[in-house]
Amino acid sequence: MSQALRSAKERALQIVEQASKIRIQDARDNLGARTSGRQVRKANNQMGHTQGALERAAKPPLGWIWGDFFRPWQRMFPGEKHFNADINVRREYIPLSLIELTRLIDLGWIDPSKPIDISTLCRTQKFQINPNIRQYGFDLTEEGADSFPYAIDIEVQYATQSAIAAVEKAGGRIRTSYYDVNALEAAIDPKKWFEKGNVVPQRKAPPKTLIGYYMDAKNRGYLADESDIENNRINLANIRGYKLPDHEMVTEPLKTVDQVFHGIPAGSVISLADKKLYSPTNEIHREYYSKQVADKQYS
Amino acid sequence: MWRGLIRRLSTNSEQIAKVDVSYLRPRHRILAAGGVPPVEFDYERERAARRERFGKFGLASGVSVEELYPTVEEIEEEYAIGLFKELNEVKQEYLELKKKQDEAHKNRLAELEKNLKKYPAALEKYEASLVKQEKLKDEKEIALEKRIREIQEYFGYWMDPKDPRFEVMLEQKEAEEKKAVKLAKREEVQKKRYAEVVQ
Amino acid sequence: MFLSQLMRQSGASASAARNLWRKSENPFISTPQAWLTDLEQVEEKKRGIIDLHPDVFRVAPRLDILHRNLTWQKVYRNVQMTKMLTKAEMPGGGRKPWPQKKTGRAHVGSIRQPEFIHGGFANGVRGPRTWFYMLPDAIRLQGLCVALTLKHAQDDLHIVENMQDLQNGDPKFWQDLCESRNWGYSVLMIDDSDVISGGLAEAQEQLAWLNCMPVYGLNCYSIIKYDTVVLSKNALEKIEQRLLQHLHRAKPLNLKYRYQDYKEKILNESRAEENPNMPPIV
Repeated sequence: MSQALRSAKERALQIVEQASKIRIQDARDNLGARTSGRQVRKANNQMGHTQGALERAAKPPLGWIWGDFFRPWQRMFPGEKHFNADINVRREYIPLSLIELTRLIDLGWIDPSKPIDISTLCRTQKFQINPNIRQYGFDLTEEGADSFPYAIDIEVQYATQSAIAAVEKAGGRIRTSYYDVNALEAAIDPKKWFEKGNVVPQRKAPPKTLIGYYMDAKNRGYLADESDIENNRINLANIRGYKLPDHEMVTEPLKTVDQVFHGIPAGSVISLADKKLYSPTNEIHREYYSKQVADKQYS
Repeated sequence: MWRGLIRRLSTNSEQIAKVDVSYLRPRHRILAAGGVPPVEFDYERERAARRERFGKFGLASGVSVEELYPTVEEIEEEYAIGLFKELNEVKQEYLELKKKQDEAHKNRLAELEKNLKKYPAALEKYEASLVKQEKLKDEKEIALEKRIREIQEYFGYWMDPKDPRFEVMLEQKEAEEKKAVKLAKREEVQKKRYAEVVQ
Repeated sequence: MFLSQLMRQSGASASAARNLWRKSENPFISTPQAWLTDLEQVEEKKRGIIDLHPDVFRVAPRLDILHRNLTWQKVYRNVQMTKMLTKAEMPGGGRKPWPQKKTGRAHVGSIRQPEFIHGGFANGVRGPRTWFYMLPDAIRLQGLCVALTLKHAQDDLHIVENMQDLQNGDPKFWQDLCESRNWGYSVLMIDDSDVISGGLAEAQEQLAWLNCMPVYGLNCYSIIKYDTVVLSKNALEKIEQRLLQHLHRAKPLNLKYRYQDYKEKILNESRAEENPNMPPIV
């Protein structure tokens, strides 16, 4: 290899090869290897007098839009009775656009021949879902719907009609389904859940306020009738003016209403060390885990 | 030298020297080798730790599968609290609620439809009622209004007709008017008389 | 690489070519190589040549990263147990030694005030103090790669077939071996097993400059401290596998190591370590 083609790394290593033995006392920082933060001159520092002053300072309320402090925007144009009144109650869904999904499949993070659900998506480590701050799963958005090429079998928590149409146009199957907090925690990191020795939880059905969404075949809800969904699928294709492929992508049979993982019924215990699945033998436990219940109202 | 001594203690065979170069505590050596460490600490006897033990090491941990499930008391307590309703019940509730909402919506639409049909007639009636109200005012009222207005013009400022002073002022005004009329009559009589004298 | 040129000159075949996991396709990145030898006899016999992964054994020689690792390793274990007593903690001194005024002496309230001989300390060392911190994963990984690269680049890294059950445990033999191979003043043997048996086990007990270490004990400080690092073939496989696994892991490399996450476990396990006669001073 000629000298000109050598990389900086190779040239540095050449120096190292010719140098005497590198010992502990020879290791030191390069010039400028570590920098502290930019020092603003004291006179120009507008950050506040102390750290505490910044922490405790009166800050504008949540949702503040810059303007007149005494006549805030949300009071001048009151669209809602109480601004951000439901901030502690509302559910958050992590947006997942179709273009992101395409990219994940392109790069090999997701296998389109297998069912895609929360566990598959979280396994890529590209998303963080924290059920403790009321994040309830994924929202499939329509960005990239024009050119979505993969026939996939996907399960999300919320999907727009355009996204549904895009998936079905490509020959895929899409279902929206609800995960309660426990089930979500298990689905996000199954290994962690199993290593804690927890029983595979039963996925609770949505509460009364939310069940309508998942019972609606238009949203491809998992509580809707399959025949309804089929009709809606054809209907949506007619409305949007595309031709449905001959057969839908079916990788595995759909999960049951209370199932968190494909192929693992609720109430099972998984031992990763033994690579075994144990089912409950006690009648009480069997009944407990087979009872289909809805999540509590304010969850 | 002390290191060698420690290692020699750990060796048991004389023929082949065997030394442990891990420098770990026995527990951590077992963990590093992928084995199951013995139960050593108090916290490991607690329920959560036993569960975790099963999760990590499987059946070799000596924890039975039954221990992982909730106890009967816990299940009964959960049932007693009744936080979770049955799915079918919730579905039924939702359907009923939806039915009620649909009904209310339908009723409202029907009502609006009906009201819309009546709208031209109602509008006409309303407009007519505005005109009629003006007509309804009788002579007496008009006279009263006129008098109030006159008084107000006379004194030059607005006066409430219900005010007790109003009556007084009214009398005063009427007296002044009578006086004026009387004066006018007298003047006329005087004028006539002058005319007679002059002729 | 010069080794491959030597190989071509000597006519030996690269029989020990390894399947390197996720090796870059970049043609400008050359594959580092090392001789495969054994420890059976004093003279070095070349058994073949072995490919090393360029992501581990041929990285940029970032001495600053190495420095951060070495500093961390020196410092994180330091605990300062000195505790200089304040005037409140010193015995006595509760009484006002003389009246406040009209004595011509200083106005003092206690004989343990810092200006007194045998008084308390005003701004003393207040132990226990620790310098413990965790270096980010990425820095630790890169530090190991840099240390291994430096050793390999300076010809101080050797790969041997086997370290277990060697015949000769005579210290003289090992001294001759290391001298004839020009291995310097100190040698670190790294094997994948944490139990060493046979001749090496005997020799390393006798010789202070010859030490053994399992793969999980690999660290920057030791690699740089010893003049020569000798890896067994199994250890090489394992080191590459472990380092590459972490370099390519899907999880972020900036994981947080917070005390609150480990506190419970540390306190639980430390309960057994407490000596009833000598409780820790806090």
